Amino acid sequence: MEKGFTIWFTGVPASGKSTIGTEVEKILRGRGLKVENLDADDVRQNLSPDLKWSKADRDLNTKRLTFIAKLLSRNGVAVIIAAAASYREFRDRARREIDNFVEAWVNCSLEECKQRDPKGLYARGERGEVNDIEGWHQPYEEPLNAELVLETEQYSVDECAAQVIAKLEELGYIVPSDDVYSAEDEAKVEERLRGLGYI
Amino acid sequence: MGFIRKFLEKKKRRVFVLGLDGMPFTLAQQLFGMGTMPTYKGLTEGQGAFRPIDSVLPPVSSVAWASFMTGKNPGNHNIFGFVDRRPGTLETFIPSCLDLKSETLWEILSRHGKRVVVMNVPTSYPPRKVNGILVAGFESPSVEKATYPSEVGMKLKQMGYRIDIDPWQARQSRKKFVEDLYQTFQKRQEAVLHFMDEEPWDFFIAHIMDTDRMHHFLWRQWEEKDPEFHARFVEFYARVDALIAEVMQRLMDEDELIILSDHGFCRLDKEVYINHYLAEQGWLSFEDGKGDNLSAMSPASKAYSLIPGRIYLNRKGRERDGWIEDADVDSVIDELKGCLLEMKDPASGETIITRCFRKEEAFTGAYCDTAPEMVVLSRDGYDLKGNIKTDALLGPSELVGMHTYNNAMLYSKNSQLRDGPACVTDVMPTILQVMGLNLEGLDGRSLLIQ
Repeated sequence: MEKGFTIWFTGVPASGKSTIGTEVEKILRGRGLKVENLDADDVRQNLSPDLKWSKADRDLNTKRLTFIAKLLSRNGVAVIIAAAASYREFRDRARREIDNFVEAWVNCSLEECKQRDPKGLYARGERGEVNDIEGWHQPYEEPLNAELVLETEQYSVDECAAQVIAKLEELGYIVPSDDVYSAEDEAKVEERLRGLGYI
Repeated sequence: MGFIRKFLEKKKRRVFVLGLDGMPFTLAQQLFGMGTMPTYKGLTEGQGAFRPIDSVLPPVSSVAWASFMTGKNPGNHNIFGFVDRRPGTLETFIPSCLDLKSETLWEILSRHGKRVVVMNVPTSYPPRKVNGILVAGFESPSVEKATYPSEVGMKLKQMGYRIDIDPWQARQSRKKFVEDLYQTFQKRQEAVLHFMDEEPWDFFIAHIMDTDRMHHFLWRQWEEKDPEFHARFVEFYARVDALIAEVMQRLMDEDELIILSDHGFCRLDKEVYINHYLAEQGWLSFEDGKGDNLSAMSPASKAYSLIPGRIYLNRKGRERDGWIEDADVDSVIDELKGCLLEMKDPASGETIITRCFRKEEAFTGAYCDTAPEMVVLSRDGYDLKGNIKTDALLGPSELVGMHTYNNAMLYSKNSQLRDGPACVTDVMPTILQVMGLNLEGLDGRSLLIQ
C-alpha cells in the first residue's frame, strides 16, 4: 500500500490554494494514487453548517478537517486540503496529529489577491459587506517552517504543482515517476541537444 | 561567523573542483602566454601539478563526466552518449542519471558523512539525493526541476540562474550568443560564490559548461583572430580567471583545488555522416515511408552508427530483426573497420577516420552488451554525426568547434600527480585519496604521488 500523507495548502483567500491543490490532485491520480481533495467550503457546508467565521469557529472547523485527514491518510490516502487555517496553532495541531504532514504555504500579496478575487470576496470587502477576510481584516499568521513555499505571483500553477510533486518525491511519500521527462520536457531538452549538435 | 567556520573547518581536508568543460590543455598554455589568465597561470607555477589528460570514448561531455563522477568506464556506468537506442525497438532516447548504474563521487562522500555541493555537472539530471546540495546540469528541463533539495531551485530562479545558453539563438546570431554566454556565466558564477559563502562543504564541484559552448560557436573566430569575436573569446577566459581568483579567496591553504576539463577542442570544418557512408557501402538501408529515424532501419542492415563515431552491428538476439551471429562478430568488425578506414573526403582525398577501438578495447563491465561494437575517432576538423538520412557524406555545420579525445587538462593545487597516460576516469579516485578514502572496484587509478 502507498504511504498516506496530507498536504495542507494554507494561505489567504485567492492566493491559489484550491487551484494548485486541484492540479496536484490530477497528477497524483495520474500516478494511480488514492486521492481525496477535501474542499474546505464543501466540508464546512456538510460538517459544520452551524459554524461562522469567529476564531473559535474557524478553530473547530480546522479540527474537523484535521480529524478527517488523519483517518484518511493513515489508511493510505493522499489527502489534499486547501484551507486558510490562518493561525499557526491550527496548523501545528494538524502537524502533530497527522502522520506524513506537508505544509504548503501558498504565498501571494494582498494586492494581487484583490485583483484575482475569483469568488468576489474582496469586492464584497471593499463594499463593506464582509469584514472577516484573513490577511486583511483578520490575522493570517505566516508559516515559519512550511515544507513548501509556493510563490504564486512568480510561478505558474504547473510550476507550483511540480514543486509539490518534487517535494513529495523527496520526502519519500510518492515514488518518483519512471518517466524522467514529461513529453514537453523531453522535447525541450532534445531541442537543446539538437541545437548543440549533440544528437 | 565566517572566521569561526573557517577555523573549525581548518582541520578537514576539503576539495574544490572547477570543471571547465572542453578547455584544452594547450589553450590554457596559450592564454597563459598571452597574459589572459594570470591567476590560473600563477597557480600552475606553484607546488601542485598541471598536465594534459585524455578524455574517454566517445569524447562527449555526458560520457566523460559520468566517467569522472563514477571513476568507471562506460561499460560499468552505462552512459555511452547523449543519445542511445533501445536495441529491441531501435527507438532512441536521452540517457539520464537514472540510466547511470553506478554510485557517484558525491553519493560516496555523502555516505561517509561529507557535505557536498554539486553544481551543473552533466548527466546529473534528475537530481539524486546527497548530503548537501545538487544542481543538475544542462539536461535539466528547468531550474526548478534541477535541484536537490527542491527548494534550492526556487532560490536559483530568483537569482536569475540559467541552465544553459540558447543554442538556436547562437546559430542565428553570434553577437546575441556572446551576450547570452556572458550573462549565463555571470549567473553561474554568482550561484557558485553564493553557495561557497552560504553553505558548509567538504567537497564542492562547480562545473562551467559555458567554455564548451563558446568553443562550439567561436573556436574558428579564436583561431582566425576574427576582428570582432577573438577578443570576446579571450575576454571570456579573463572572466573565468577572475572566477578562479574569487574561488581562491574563499579557500584555505590546505584545501585542494582541482581544475579539469573533460575533453579537448579543435576547429570544425565539416560534418561527417557515417550512416550515409554505411548505406553507400551496402552496410545499412532503410525502409521507405517509415520516417527519418533509426527505427526505420531495414532488417537486412549489417551496421549503423550513433553520434559520435559509435558503430553497432545488427546483432541476433539484441537488435530488433538482428541477424549477425555472435560467432561472426569478429570477422564482420574486421571487415567494417577496413571499410571505415577507407572513408575519404572527396574534395581532398584524405582519409577521415584515424583510430578504431573495438568494444573489448574501449569498454569492460556489466553494461557492455548494449555498447557499440566499435568506437571510431576522426581527423581534427571532421565531426562525426549520426544523422540517419543525408544527401552526401559531408556537410557544412553552423558550429565551428568540435571535441577531441586528447588534450583535456588537469590541475591540482597541492598534490603532485604522476606523469604518463591518464584520463578523466582517473580523477575521481585521485580526489577520494586526497580526502582520505580508498575505494575498491573503480576503473580509474589515483594519480596521486604519495
